[in-house]
Amino acid sequence: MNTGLKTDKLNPYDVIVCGAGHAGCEAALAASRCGAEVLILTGNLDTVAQMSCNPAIGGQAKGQIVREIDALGGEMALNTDLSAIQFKLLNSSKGPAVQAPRAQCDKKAYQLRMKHVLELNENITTFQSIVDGLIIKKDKCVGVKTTLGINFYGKSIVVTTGTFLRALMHVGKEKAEGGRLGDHVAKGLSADFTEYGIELNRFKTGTPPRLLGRSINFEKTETQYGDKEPTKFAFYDTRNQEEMFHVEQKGRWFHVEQSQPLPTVQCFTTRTTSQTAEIIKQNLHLSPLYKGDISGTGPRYCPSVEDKIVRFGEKEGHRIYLEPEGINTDEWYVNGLSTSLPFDVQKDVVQSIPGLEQAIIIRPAYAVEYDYANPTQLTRSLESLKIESLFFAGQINGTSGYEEAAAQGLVAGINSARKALDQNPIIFGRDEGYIGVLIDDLVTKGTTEPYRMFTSRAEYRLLFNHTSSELRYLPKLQITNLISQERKQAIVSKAKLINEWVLRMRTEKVYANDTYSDLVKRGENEMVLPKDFRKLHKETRSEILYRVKYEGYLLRELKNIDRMKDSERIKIPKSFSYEDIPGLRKESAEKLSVIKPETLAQANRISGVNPSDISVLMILLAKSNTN
Amino acid sequence: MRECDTIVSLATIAGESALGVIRVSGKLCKTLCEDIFNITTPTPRTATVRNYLSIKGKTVDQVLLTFFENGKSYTGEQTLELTFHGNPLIANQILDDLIKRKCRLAEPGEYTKRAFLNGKIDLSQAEAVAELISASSEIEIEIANHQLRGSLSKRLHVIQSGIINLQAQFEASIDFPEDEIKEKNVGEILTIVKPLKSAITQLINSTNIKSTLSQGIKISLIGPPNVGKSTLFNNLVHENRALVSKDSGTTRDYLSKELNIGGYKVELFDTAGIRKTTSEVEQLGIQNSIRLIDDSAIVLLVFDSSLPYPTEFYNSIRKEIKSKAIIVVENKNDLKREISSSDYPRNSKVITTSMIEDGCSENIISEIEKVLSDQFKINPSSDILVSKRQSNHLVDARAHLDEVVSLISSSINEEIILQELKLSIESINSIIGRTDNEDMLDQLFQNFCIGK
Repeated sequence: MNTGLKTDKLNPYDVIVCGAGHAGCEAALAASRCGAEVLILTGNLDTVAQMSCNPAIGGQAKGQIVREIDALGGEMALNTDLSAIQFKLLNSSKGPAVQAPRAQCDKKAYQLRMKHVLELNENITTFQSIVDGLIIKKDKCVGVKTTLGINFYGKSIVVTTGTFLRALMHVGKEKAEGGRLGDHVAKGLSADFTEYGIELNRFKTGTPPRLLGRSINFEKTETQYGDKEPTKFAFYDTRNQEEMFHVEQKGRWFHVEQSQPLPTVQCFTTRTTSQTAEIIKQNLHLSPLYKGDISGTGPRYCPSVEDKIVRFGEKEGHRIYLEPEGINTDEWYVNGLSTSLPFDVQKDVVQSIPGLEQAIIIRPAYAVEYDYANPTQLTRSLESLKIESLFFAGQINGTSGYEEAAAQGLVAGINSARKALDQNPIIFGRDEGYIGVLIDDLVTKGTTEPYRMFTSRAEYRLLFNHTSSELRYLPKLQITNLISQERKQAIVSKAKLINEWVLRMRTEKVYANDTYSDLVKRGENEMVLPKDFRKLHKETRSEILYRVKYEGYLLRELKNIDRMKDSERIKIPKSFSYEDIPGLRKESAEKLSVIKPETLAQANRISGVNPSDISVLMILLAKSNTN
Repeated sequence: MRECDTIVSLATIAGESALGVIRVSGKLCKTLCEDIFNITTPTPRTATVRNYLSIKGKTVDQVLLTFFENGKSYTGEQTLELTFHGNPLIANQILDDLIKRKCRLAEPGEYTKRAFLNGKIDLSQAEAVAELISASSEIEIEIANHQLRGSLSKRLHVIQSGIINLQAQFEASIDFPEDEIKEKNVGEILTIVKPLKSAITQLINSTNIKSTLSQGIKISLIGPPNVGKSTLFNNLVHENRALVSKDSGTTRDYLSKELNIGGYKVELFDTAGIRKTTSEVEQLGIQNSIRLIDDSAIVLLVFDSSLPYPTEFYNSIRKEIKSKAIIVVENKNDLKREISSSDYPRNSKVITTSMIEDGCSENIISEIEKVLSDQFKINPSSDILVSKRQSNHLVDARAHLDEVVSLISSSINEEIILQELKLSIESINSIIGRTDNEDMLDQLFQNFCIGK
């Protein structure tokens, strides 16, 4: 029951979320679904769930993550579907495992809906205030301090401060404090983290300029149309009508949606020219990224335009994408032109590009450097190893991307709530989906650049096609309350239906000695399949066909998972000491002490730990077990 | 970490000996008794003589097998001990066969490790065991590193990079679909895979060379009867070992002797003179000789230079001799020369000699040395693979590349092809150490201008 803002030490919230970005929102909503009473604090209520960069959700590997978030009851998928202005399925000509949905969104519609969902949720209180300190008692976090001088107390605290910690923005020589143009900076927290032994490093990222649409000559660009039939993110075949209007309040579903769907738009592309390259080359000395004025590593997969020119010359010109930021705005995002060059150079660069000769920049491009906390200091439930009940999620962990942040928020939300309610954490494995891969990569290996998910990071990628998301998480859904009973039941039925069909296709013979499975593998048209198959929901059909067609390969992956699970079973107790172990190499002992892997298999994944180290550990674990 | 695997290894020293012992430990032992020896309920701790039947149904050797049941063996698991005739070829055949039957070669110290984990060794020995394992692993790693420090290690890294590069190619087009990576067509990919496969094949062959080297390179003396083979053999061996008599056909079978020629271990074979004969014994001997040609790396064709070219003899061995290195020894040059060298097989070296001369075999030995160093260009410090296990991994790596080739030609999805490529990389990882997805990403970002 929401009784307003609580500041009493003896009546703490269950979960306090610091930051209302993509990670923060998912964390708050997930925690509330788990039955926790949540307080979410943000420095600016007008930028809740703001898309700082690209006005799009999804894409390669990220689209798959968003669907997994939906499978686990998260909000991002639905929020995207209902604010999308263009849908596109990437890699549609490739196999289902690497097809990924993507959508351009109206930025404002996206954040307004998310804010509204937060506000309507009975278990969540929102409050505008910057968190600038932690309240720690005996190595456990019990609350937060804010710049207003008010303290809030909670059983679990989730840090989702994004890129705001000691953030510094650069436009050429000009520096300004702030995690985002026009936004604030959070200074106090970094000091607290360092004081309590939480290691911080610095990353940087960049964002391109925004242009005024009416100043762009679209005639000189190529049009990029969306898909006629959109591939949406949320699963609609397992939801009933009411549930689509998502928020439950006082026992009934509350309408949050607009009555009309948003209109669709086109995007456009153009290219840089040799003139662009010239301008950049001549002004490299003014780029803080190149002068080394910005500390912190940037992402290789999102190079600044200076990077591209220097490393790859001009090719035939680098592609630039022009994406509208919304329906009710004339602001356009210039994808591919991320830079920290001074503003007047930016103008010249922009105007050297076909179509943009007269373009007006309404927001300059800039680079931002910020603190992040080394994620290897976390457990697999995203709880800090140093401070109990303190959870970290989102870009604060060194990731990039809204989707990666939201996934972590979901996990931290679930586990912070469960911690507050004295329940065991839920651990996501590498064999379940991209979310497990994300968490395990961060916590076990750490990252040297802003981490972004690629399908290649998932060794069981073939099993992670986006249509199978709900089915993969069914075991977790059954032991939690992340989705409604009705939806749970619907997913169970869906799983049963799919398995029955796959079995039927494999065993039922059609012509001569061919089963349906044989026909599918041969590439025969869907018309040869039984009538009642064609009546199934589109997504169910594609899932069945996928399993039938790639049966052998999928089976092999499942076998690999079984073998992996065997070794995951050997647990390493929290208190295990790596000091003075004969036969354990010093460097390995150091790494193991820092990362504190929870299973022997996880230890094996730490870079630098080799098989002989694992052998030694195995023996000692057996010894300590028999003791 | 495959604790549930059944492990096998040679328990006695590799090489020739009267007997060899292979140890098997794990839950497959009982099944193996059934499948290999047709024993459904083996009596534990009782030695039985049986024929070892390979997975193809061939008898490999007659062995003495002892089965130990769960809990009552060294490791605590079901164990099988096989004693066989101590021939390294048989040892390899049995090990290969067991691997085909889903066993795995044991890691160093693994039996003892299992013994401890199953409580067969007590706690006070735990530290010693840990040290033993890590020590032997470190030694193994050290030995491996030492051996691999040379051109072999570099070669493997080059091959590994080549495969990772190809992987990056595919991954780029999957994970960056909007970056217009020009996808390579089938032909271009095959051009990349082919040299990788031959590089691997070369390395696999060098293992074969290694085992040939350690077992001895076979050189056989072949020729019609009474041309002086046995005398030559004795001269080369410095001993009167063969029977020499004026009666043609004295050497009924073959005799062999180990020699060191030019630093190479050589097994020299004297053979029965090949001719048409009614004597059954002699016929058998001749058949053996012909088979021996097949096994030999070098053949010394010995002719009586005072007789015309023995065409009938040559025709009977023409097929087998085709791929061999040949040294023609024109013996008895003290007599009048009748033979014509135009009939000699092409590309053969020729030596004229007379066995009654002193030091007549010196020329022959230096010629053999030349051929040996030509054929077996090995740099012992860098080209030798340490173990059969590593060669097995290379065979696996190549097989996965083969699979990649057949998948590509059938235009199947890239992500499926990538799984095969990854398996290939893993196989090589098992020899030179682990790679990470980061290595592939490094290549990817180096080669392609990606990202917005």
